[in-house]
Amino acid sequence: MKRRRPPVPARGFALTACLIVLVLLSIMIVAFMSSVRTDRGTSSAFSDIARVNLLAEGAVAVALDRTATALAADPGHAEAWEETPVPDAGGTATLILPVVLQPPLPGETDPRRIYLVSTPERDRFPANVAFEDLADLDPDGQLGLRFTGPFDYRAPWVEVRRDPAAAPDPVRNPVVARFAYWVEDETVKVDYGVTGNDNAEGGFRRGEGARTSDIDLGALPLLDYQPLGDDPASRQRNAAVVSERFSLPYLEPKFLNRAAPDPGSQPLEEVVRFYGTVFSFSNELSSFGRRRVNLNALIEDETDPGKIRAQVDSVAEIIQRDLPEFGQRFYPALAGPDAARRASMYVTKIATNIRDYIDRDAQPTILDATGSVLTAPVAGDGWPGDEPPRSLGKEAAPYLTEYAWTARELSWQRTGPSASYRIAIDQYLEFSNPTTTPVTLPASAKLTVTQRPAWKAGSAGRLRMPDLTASLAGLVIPPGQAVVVTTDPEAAEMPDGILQPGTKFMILPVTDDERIFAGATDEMENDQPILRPESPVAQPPVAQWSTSAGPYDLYPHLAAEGGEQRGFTFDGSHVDDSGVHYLYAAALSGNVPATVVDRTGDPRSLSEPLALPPAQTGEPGAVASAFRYTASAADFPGSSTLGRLDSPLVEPGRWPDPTPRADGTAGNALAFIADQPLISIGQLGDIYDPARESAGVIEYAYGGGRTLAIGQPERRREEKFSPGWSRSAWRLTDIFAAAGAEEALLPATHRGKINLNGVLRDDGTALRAVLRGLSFGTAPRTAPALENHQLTPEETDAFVDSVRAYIAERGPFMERGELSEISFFDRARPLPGGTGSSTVPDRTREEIFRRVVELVTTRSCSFTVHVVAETVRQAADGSLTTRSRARRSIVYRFDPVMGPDPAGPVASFRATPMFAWPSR
Amino acid sequence: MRLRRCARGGFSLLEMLIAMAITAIIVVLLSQVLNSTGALWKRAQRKIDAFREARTALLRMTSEIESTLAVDGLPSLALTGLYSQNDPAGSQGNQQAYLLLAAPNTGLSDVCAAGYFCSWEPELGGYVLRRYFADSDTVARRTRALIDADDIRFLPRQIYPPGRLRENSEILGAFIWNLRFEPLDAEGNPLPAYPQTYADGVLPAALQVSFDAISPRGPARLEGLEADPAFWFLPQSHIYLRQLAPLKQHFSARVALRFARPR
Repeated sequence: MKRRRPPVPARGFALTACLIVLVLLSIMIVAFMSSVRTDRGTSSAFSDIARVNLLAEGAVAVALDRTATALAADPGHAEAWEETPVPDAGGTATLILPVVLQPPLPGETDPRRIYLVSTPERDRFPANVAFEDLADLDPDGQLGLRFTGPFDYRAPWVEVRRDPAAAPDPVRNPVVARFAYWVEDETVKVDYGVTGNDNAEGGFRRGEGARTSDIDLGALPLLDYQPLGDDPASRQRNAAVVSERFSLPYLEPKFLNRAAPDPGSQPLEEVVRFYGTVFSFSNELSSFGRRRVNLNALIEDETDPGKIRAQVDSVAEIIQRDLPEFGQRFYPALAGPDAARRASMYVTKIATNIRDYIDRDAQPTILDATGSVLTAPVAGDGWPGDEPPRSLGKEAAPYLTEYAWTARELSWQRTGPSASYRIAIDQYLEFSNPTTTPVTLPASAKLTVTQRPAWKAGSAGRLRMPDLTASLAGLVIPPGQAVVVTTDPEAAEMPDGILQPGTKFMILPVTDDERIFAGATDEMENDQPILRPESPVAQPPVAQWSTSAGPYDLYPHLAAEGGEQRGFTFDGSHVDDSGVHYLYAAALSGNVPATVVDRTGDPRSLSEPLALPPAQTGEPGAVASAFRYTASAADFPGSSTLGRLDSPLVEPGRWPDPTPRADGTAGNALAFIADQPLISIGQLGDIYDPARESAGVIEYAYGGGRTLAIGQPERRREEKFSPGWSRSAWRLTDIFAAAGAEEALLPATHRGKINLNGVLRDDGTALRAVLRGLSFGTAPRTAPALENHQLTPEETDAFVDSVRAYIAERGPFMERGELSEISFFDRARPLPGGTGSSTVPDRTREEIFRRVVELVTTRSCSFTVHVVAETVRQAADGSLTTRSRARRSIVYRFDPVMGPDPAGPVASFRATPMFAWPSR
Repeated sequence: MRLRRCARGGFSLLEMLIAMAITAIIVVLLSQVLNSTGALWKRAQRKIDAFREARTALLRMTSEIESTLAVDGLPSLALTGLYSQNDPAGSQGNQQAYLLLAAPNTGLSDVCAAGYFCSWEPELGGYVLRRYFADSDTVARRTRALIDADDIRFLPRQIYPPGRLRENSEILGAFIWNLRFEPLDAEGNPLPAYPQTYADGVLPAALQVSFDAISPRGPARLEGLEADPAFWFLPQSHIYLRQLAPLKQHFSARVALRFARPR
């Protein structure tokens, strides 16, 4: 039997070695693969990071490009915010999106919109994009902090495919990256780098609204927001923010934390982030893309006629260049050469008034019928009716409003056919100041009266009082008051009813030789020796000022009618009758001698000549302005208002009434004359409107009794963007600016102004900061109803509501002056809180407008670009998986690049980065 | 009976000899390869080390230089030899740059100060690249004191005080020297030479940054260089040519300044 040997076990280590080698190789391969995988992962991660960072930078560039294009495409743009509904899981969500508005193209009515958020299709927000599909630019919600609820910074994704030129396909041409951006307008925030006045006591000092520092930081909700009133905590915090600025400028937003560091509370900058900034810059160009013209630099004190004319022409040309329809504000239907002539004349009159409002001299700017600037008085009867001056500016000058003589027989001794006499003739010249600016005459001021009474004394011939020249140094006429300048040393003793109670006198330092005359007469009438009135030989100016600058400082306005006799008849019957005098008075009577003028008659126009009626006998009632009076008030005809500015012309503290002069109330108005540089462009509302009605003849229009309707809705409301839009008076605030007189060409940007259109974004918080900071002084500098007033919370809310309502009804504001159109400034509506006056309803609102308009803007030029970029992997079903993400938040300033002509239009905008947030 | 050959496994002597010979050959070959690979690896590693540290340092520098802030009223960028202590090469050999930038920090705000300079380290026997950093509180305090004193002439030396640079610095990389900064305009042309201070919001368009570096492991074999810092700036010297030149890597980057505003 064979025994089967058990199998001999294999010997040797070939297999073992082989296996070991295989294992080692496997380990090496695995290690290698692992290493390769790690390297690939690392490389891929680095690649993703690099790609996503590049994509983020690219997204920033795209956002900048769109913004710069939006700004440059039409200089008439405005930055605004728009509510856009988007589908949401629960219904509809409302996004508030930044948008640049541009005026509509010809033939269209809707403004063009360019969204300042990423959109797949350029400039257009997708119609049905779902809320949850939008990129969240503010995932932690810090940017969107809002006291009324979350503010979503969401924008559509812009997807990047592997091959941008090929058709989308999740497999063959998938999405490999995507980005979104949001361009935040910084001018809708309060710039605590410049706002918040301070005073030496460390508290907030309200201002006149002329500087952005007048904006009240205390209105920011973070600063312990309280309604207007005493709020020590807010004021203290406010003061800290401001004082910190003086020790170290706010270099970047977080510097706010240094103002009031409180280790136990949330850093101040985080709380204020939504409302505050240090990078608020606005574009100071007109809607025509030009630098706004600084009126304070354009208007200079000047005596050279050519230079004066050049200033007037410059103002007029700018108006006609940018607002060609403006000259036809009240002649919109007129066409042809006549329309052009009237428009030109109207604008020239406006320009003249603007010049006299600003220049510091007291000399009205006068352009005669040929357009020449007059530098010497015109003698005689004033302006001929058929050759009125082209333009007559209003000035804070002494206006000669009444002229009177008194004559008394001091002694009369008849000797046969003759009589020796001794008479006293005193003169009273009433000078008034129907403006808001005190009139103070210089030390060199002199009064010269040349056309004085004359009389005939028979064989003694024609006798005439010598010309009178006296110093008026130091004469001050308060706003809205009159001063009687007289040679009568006993003027104050005149009986009541002759001179108005409280009349202010200035008794000229004259000798008796200049007012008391003696002689003999053999002129006989009815067998009585008399003195007859006699006409002056010539017709020189009756009164004129002269100063060291020459006789240019006051225009003569005392004119005689037709060379009639004027004087007195003396016969000795009133000697020792101390109660009887002869008063020969003249007052403004209007349109003398022109009969076709229907717009003069306003002494504030300085175009009104005084009429001296023909000589009278002095009998009461013969002529209202020439009469005899006695101590009895009953004998006083009552037509003299000597010593008081003609009622109801001026009363202190009264302001222009909106109603036409035809209503009889315009006479209550003081003329606004600044005689100093504008502090707010809104002061253009003080400028007299030479023609308020479509009827009438513009050549004779000097007054009108009404200021330009800036700060009031235009009565002839034009459709937005219509050709007649440029007839609105408030458009002047777009082409002109008020700044330091040394700046001829203003910088094209300004810091700290508030974008009116931001109310949708912040519920009007920034605008409230403007309103809270306003301080109203005393009349007449301030509207009487606003004296020492601060806007109440009700008024502030009403203002903001009115702005919001206007945007909802007529769209965002395109210009700062458009603020005039809000219902808050409509005089037909009462102001909340009881502020205002039934007698001066519009003045109160205009005053508020004047303060606010200088602090607001509609054109931003600083923006923060928020970007999120992702590299993604797209699955076959189209779903996306994020691989890496990068964010950027960079503040840019878009500086206008002007063309070759410094006064010409902007050529482009250059973006300059100002700050990059290190982290969010 | 036929003897069966023993079936016990094993190798004959010949087999053994052949196997050993083959093994020996393989071992020799492998050792040569390994030696060669080791040398190559060491060289690569040194290069990698040098690249790693230097590249990291360069990246950090360029990243921060790119973010130099244009701050009105303050010296945003100072190319100056503020730090001369312990730097025998001085500003002519190793240049220095100090700047303001927005960076995360423990202070109340974002504006911090950073700077880059080389210092000679005797213990190391070589130069190191240092990064100075002052947080926003420090910058604000120093700036405020100057503004209060209305003395802004010495702002760069106050914001970047020479006496405090070293103590407030960290080492970015060892054996880095010949640090240079060259400001450039928008067209890439060199601007006025170092030293230069850019203040009041004016910055050059770009900054060219460069330095030389060797691996930190390399200097173990350096002789003489560790004793005399001057040799590091004598490229024609025998020591330099023999020891530094083979190891030296030159690093350079041109950084566009994000907030550049032309002078």
